[in-house]
Amino acid sequence: MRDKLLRMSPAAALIAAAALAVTACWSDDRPIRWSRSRTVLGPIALKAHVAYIDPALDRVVLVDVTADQPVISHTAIGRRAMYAVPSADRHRLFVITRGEQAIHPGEIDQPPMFWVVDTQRPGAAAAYPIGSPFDRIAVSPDGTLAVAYYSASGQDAEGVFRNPNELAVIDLARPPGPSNPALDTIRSFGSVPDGIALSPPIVLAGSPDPTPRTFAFILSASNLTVLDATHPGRRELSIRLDLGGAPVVPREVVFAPGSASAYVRSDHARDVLQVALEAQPADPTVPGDNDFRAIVAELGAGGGPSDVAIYDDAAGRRVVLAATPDTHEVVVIDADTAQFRSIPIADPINRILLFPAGDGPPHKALFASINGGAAGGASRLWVLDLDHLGDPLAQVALRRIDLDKPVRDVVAVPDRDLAMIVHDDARTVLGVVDLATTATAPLLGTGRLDSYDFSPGGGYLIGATSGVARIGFVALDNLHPTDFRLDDLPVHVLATANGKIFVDHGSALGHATVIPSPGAARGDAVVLSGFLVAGVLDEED
Amino acid sequence: MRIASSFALAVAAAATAAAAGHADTNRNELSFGGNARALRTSSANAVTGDNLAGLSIGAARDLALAPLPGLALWAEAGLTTGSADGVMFQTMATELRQLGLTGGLAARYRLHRLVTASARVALGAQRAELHVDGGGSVAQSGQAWGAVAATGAALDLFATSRPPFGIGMRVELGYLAAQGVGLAMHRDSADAVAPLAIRDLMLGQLDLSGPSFAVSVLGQF
Repeated sequence: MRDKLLRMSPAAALIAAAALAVTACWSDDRPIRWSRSRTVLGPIALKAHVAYIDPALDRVVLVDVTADQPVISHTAIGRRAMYAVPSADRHRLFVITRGEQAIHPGEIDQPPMFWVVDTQRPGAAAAYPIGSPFDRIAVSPDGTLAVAYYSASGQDAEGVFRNPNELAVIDLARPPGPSNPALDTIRSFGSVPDGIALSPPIVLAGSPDPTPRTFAFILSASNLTVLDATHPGRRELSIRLDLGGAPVVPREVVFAPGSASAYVRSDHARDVLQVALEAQPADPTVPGDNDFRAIVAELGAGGGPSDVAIYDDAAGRRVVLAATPDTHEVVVIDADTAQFRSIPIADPINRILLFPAGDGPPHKALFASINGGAAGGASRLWVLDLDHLGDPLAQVALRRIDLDKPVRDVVAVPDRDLAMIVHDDARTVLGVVDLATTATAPLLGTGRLDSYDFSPGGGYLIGATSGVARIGFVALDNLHPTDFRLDDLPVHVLATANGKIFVDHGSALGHATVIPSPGAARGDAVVLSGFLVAGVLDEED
Repeated sequence: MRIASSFALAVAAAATAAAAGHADTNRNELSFGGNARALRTSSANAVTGDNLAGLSIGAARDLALAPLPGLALWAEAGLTTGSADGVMFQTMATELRQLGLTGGLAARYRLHRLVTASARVALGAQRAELHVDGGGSVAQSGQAWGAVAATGAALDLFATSRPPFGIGMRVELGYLAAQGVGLAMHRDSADAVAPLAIRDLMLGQLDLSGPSFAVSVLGQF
């Protein structure tokens, strides 16, 4: 019997070894990445792409809609993307990733990063370590500088300390380095930034440095801080806005074209603030002293402006339009002389739109009282002819457009003398006003206009209602409405700069319909399915 | 001619020996049981943290060949099913299904009248199917066939093995190497009339390779 057992032992040993080996490698821990929470950011319309940011797979998904068949590409970014904005020219996408601390297996130590994704070079992104988990980005209009800063949303749950007045100035023309980004803490008088506006390139008059530079206007309660973002190491300027009374909260900065001036509209302020930057020699005894000063002037709006618009007229005169609903006026201010002219308007105006909105002097201004007619029904718009406004002897040409319903919103149609009016909170009753003829045309929707866009050039209004599997088009030349039947309910509609219509259906897998043009037939459209998880099985652990 | 004659004589001798050696055993077998496969590849980890579990059905026949004393060669055919559910990114429910068909050879060695050890190799094909529910109205499925190669070692324990009918239990540990199959996902419920042209995108290569474990009841006759 013992011999028999000994004869059996090699086979038994083999089986035992196999059992041990299989048991040892039976199970493994699933990588933590597949169990992350995932809230996709986007869609974001770019020039010829639509971008989604996947914070679980740490990548930007770019859908290139240039060709008939969309092309999907991926660009890897850092852990936990939390905010993204496109550049003004919509060729680039800027993303802030929160980073990660390696606490659990599979996690990595990664600092907060600022990523630049160039749609013309998909697959590679430039990364700038920003040191702090900022969650807002301001980008200069020329795309050369970006400032990352904190929103006012409260304490970061993952940090011990947070400095809400810290910001990172990133020179996008230079690679990351010891001085790029430049971290700076702005001077504070107890308030924290509510927003940052970056100027277009400005050349300071009289400055020995002829290089155009970008200035950051940092808005906080009762304070306006001006920082030379091109030279972030230099000291900033602080401008106190209140006089000890109610806090003055700056809401809007409008930069004057081609000059070193900005106009600031604030809540609880009587007037529009003009901030003109001038060269001033730096004090060599003060390290990091700046070489400019701010000359502040109050332009006499006189009634707490609710909206401002700045333009240069055909004669080169700078004009500030300020709506003061408290006094039921629109004030036309000559920014050079501070002379002003008040135009009485019966309605409390709080929205000003200029037409045309692009380059060149505008010819008309549209005034609206958004939600102002709830009590009595300010169901009207006002159109001001701007062409002869500079002539003090010319009569002000203000025309009234009567509407059937109150105005809830008004939006300028790009590149057209048209405006879309929203009449109800449900956004089912719309209208289009032609500023040339002051004619209005109602548009009735079958449901709430949940998402809309205008085609490039303003030829079409493109709208979607979340409960209707259709995209609606309105040809703005003749207001002819057409429909495009979809296979799925739309969630978001975008028009890319190359004229394609991208309809997102709101699936975590990625589901979208690409329509080549507003006049396309169904056979021309293509449905992209699964593009947000494409290639996900090929990702390495 | 001389070599051929020698080979024929050798085969005949082996067959005679085998017939003599297996005169007290059954030569056909049917098995039914359960199987599990550990999913360890990165692609399988992507869709589920669970392992595949399912049923297995097998049939085998003694080839009456004895390459070594006490060793018997059996031809085998098997069918396995398996499934695993999972969740991706806390919100996307996944369902993984597989169907495998294999055929191969097993070498069995009788350790005892009621105990047999065996090792086997098999080749075949496997159909992998994945269903992903992304929430909302859109869910997608994809399926593809790919080749598999399986190997394993088993221990058979018989309650009775004498002809005309033997019954027992088999425990097998093995490894299945599966070809990665490209999964193009298709929308599940495209109920639209005359739907738009759909461009489905590849989810990637799904590899269901992994160590396996099976327990089955077998009957021999």
